[in-house]
Amino acid sequence: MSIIYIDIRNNVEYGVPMIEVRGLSKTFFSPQGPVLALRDVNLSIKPGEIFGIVGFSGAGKSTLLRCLNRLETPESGVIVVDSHIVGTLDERALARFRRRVGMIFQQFNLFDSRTVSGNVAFPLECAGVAARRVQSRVDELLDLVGLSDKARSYPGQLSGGQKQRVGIARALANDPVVLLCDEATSALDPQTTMSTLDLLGRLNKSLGLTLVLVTHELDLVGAFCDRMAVMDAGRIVEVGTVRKIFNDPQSSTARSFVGITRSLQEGQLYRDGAGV
Amino acid sequence: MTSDLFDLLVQALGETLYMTALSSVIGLALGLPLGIVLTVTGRGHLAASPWWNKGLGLVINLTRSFPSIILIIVALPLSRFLVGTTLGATAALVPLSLSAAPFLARIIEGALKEVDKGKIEAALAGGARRGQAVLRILLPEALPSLIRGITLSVISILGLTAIAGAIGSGGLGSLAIRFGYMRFRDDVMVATVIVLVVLVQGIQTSGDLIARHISKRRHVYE
Repeated sequence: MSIIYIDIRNNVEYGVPMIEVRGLSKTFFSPQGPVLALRDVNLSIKPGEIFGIVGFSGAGKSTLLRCLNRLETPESGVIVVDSHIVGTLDERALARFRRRVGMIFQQFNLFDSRTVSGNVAFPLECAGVAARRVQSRVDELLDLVGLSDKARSYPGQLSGGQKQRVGIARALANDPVVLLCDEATSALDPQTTMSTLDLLGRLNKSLGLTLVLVTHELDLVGAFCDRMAVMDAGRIVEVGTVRKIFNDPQSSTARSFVGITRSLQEGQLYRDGAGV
Repeated sequence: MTSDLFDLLVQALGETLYMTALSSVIGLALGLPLGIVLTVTGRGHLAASPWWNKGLGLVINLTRSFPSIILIIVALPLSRFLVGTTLGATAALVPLSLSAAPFLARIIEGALKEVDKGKIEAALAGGARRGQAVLRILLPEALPSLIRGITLSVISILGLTAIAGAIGSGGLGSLAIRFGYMRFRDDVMVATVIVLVVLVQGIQTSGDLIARHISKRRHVYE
């Protein structure tokens, strides 16, 4: 075991990815018949990278993200995150692995039964951190996201942007190396989106946190990500640097995505009527 | 009004409160785990398992399809086995708890299913094991609904104690039947009904107050 461990450690320095996905497939069975959510997805994300996954609704981008911390169980394929083979973990090991991988959500998913402090403390409690340590770590995290004055408030008293910052603090509680963001800014207004992204960007720089963002807002990916993947009907149709895909999209999905975003920016949709 | 009325009422009220309180507690002790199992074995939940879910659901539906009076009579041998008698308030606890448990299980299932699955996922994503997600998130998040559901159940258990009165459990129902109905004592009948109305109002109001207090503290408004 230890030999394999050393191997992986050495490889990281030579550019072995933080997240590696090979041959991932997943089918949902709905009353209308089977839906191929993911088809043979391959992906590789580097440590410290800000990686965007874009696609139209139903392209499978959220499913892909949720497979990375096994909220979704794929039917075939291999996922390696932070040198853990995600599919092989038992419940205890999976819980321990998830401390290394934080996640934030579009609807924030804060616990109404707990104060802001209680929300941030939850992952620490689950990890068995001693009560004294929990309190000081919670204070640290709330300071980091600028919500120290809200420690005793309940989520019901907060604005959307504040809720998402609590979500971020909660996700960072156990010092993760990866943060998964599932449409994390889609429920926020543009200004709050900017400040949330600003916070995430600072965390990426200061903690070396790898960020994986799923979104349908291409603007956001353009402004924020290093590399991106474009998904369509369960497949990744294009992967590359943001600059390259924006300037020279190869796939028709990427072209129409970039095209629609440009039209929106230039107001063509209004001028031309319905046509895209 | 005759002088025996007060003594009769106090004794019957005591028996009714005893039966209602204890069978609620026993019913809850059985029904809460069942309600949790029903919820987490449901489709797409923490321990999804159609077999367990359908099997347990079937058993609960079977128990619930007995009309209460029949269940009470069917459970008489069990009372004799567990308590040593089929008469009196303690003997009635057995059939009362048996009918309360499946009812509570369904009520609790309903309350737990209201909790947004996103919160459960957030708990799991934060490194919770499934047991931790149930005990530390699912149950606390559902607390106001659970209290409302339990209030409803306690009131229907109170109604059941009156039915148990028909086969000699004692309590207000028994008093109303033996004196108000069989001996044409209208004063007893009226007094019993008034006490029952006050009891039901009291239980409902307390339940509402507690549930509202919790929701308000959490700044959650439904």
